[in-house]
Amino acid sequence: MIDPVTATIMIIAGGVLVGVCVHFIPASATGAMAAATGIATGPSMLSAGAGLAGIYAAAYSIDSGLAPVIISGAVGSALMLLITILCGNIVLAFGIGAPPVSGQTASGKSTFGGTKDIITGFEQEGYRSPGTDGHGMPFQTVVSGTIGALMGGAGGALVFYAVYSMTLPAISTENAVALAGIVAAGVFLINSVLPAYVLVGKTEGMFDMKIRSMHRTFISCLVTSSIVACVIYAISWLAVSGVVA
Amino acid sequence: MKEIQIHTLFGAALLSGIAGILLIGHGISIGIVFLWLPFLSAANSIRGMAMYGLGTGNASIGYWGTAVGATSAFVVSLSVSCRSTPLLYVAAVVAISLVIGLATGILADKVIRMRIPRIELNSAVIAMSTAMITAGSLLILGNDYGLYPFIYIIITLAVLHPYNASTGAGENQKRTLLLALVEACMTTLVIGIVAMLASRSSIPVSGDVAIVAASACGLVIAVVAWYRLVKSDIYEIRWTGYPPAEH
Repeated sequence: MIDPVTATIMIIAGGVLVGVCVHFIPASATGAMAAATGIATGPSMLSAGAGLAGIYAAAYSIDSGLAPVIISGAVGSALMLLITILCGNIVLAFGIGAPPVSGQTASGKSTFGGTKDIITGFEQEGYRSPGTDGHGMPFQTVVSGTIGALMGGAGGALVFYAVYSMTLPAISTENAVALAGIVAAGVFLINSVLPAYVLVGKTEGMFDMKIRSMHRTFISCLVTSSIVACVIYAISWLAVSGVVA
Repeated sequence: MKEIQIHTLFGAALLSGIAGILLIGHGISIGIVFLWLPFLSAANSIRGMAMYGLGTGNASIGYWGTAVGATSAFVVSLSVSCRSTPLLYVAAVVAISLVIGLATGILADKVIRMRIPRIELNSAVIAMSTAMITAGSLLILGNDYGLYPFIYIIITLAVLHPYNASTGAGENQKRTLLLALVEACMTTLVIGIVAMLASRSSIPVSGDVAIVAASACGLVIAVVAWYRLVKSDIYEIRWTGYPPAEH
């Protein structure tokens, strides 16, 4: 178990990680029509989904200590996202015949410039369908998404473990796990929607120029998570001290 | 037609929500009908934010708003007994959700620069309304931690769906709010049924039956009224067979 002050700092750090992770996960609602690169849903909802998968995974190793909980959360989240990307790419490639192409890279507007996939070196220009902003998830966006999911899952697991540690002295173990799970999910949803305002419904991950607006997300999530963390700390302290109204 | 202002609807929802929670807290389970107004208030504020073209979907804003409200209610229930001191509980829940909702709205406006009119007011209203609904639901269902995710999801869907379903050409506040009322009745109906089945429900079965009966009556009335309004609103479209020019 960890002390309440460290747990409060962990909630803040977890909330910020959750917010920042959304910038790395490629998602776009118009991806459903193969009209933009990224998984076919809003960035915040996808990140929330990956985060919840991470929290479920983390809950299985709650008795094993902090490190296994964080690793379980991160891996569970990344696994969920990679499976989603794989299935999305299969449907797009074999269902409608659209190859995975980064729209931003194809038009030379990616973070690192050029028109090639930064990792595989595959040319993107020329494969993009006219009138679209790319389609599917090419390798560089998969890597970006995996990094984002690992961060998000670890952030969710941090919040989960911190709330669990803070509430355990006041309630039974199974209740502490249930409460920590739903509070961690709440913190995840609060922080994952804020970056969506910056991303305006679409991002290709770290290769999208919108990654440069990350400082706004960082500040917003830091302030929001700090307020939430202070509230959780104060109420847990009241409950543990026996000051129950 | 003149629209109902956010603060007018929320003022009514706040009074109604507190009255409902106090009634339920004193064993009068039928007080749950007073929680219908907070549903309307939350749905109206989601409409207020989403109609300006958010960078996120209606679903996200519903999930986010309920996350603030429900998380506040869940956390406070750890320390303040919702059963023995309902007034203190609802005051703590509303205050905490107000602070978090307002802070997030101000950050979205000033730091992220969303430039949506009244984003901070709408954020706070969604958070407080959903917090009151969660507090009322917890009073009925008892502190059964296993039911927390269920409470969260059922409230989220009821507040995010009305605008999501009504959006598009010809959307108006009256129809969206009426659909919100339909979904509010549906939600309290399900809460009543779950309370009957839940072993740790904090009110007697007769109270649960009263919730189910009141919600079912409300649901029938609201569905009929909403269906009539839908028919009246689509009159021009039905008559000509083409969308009217002004839409």
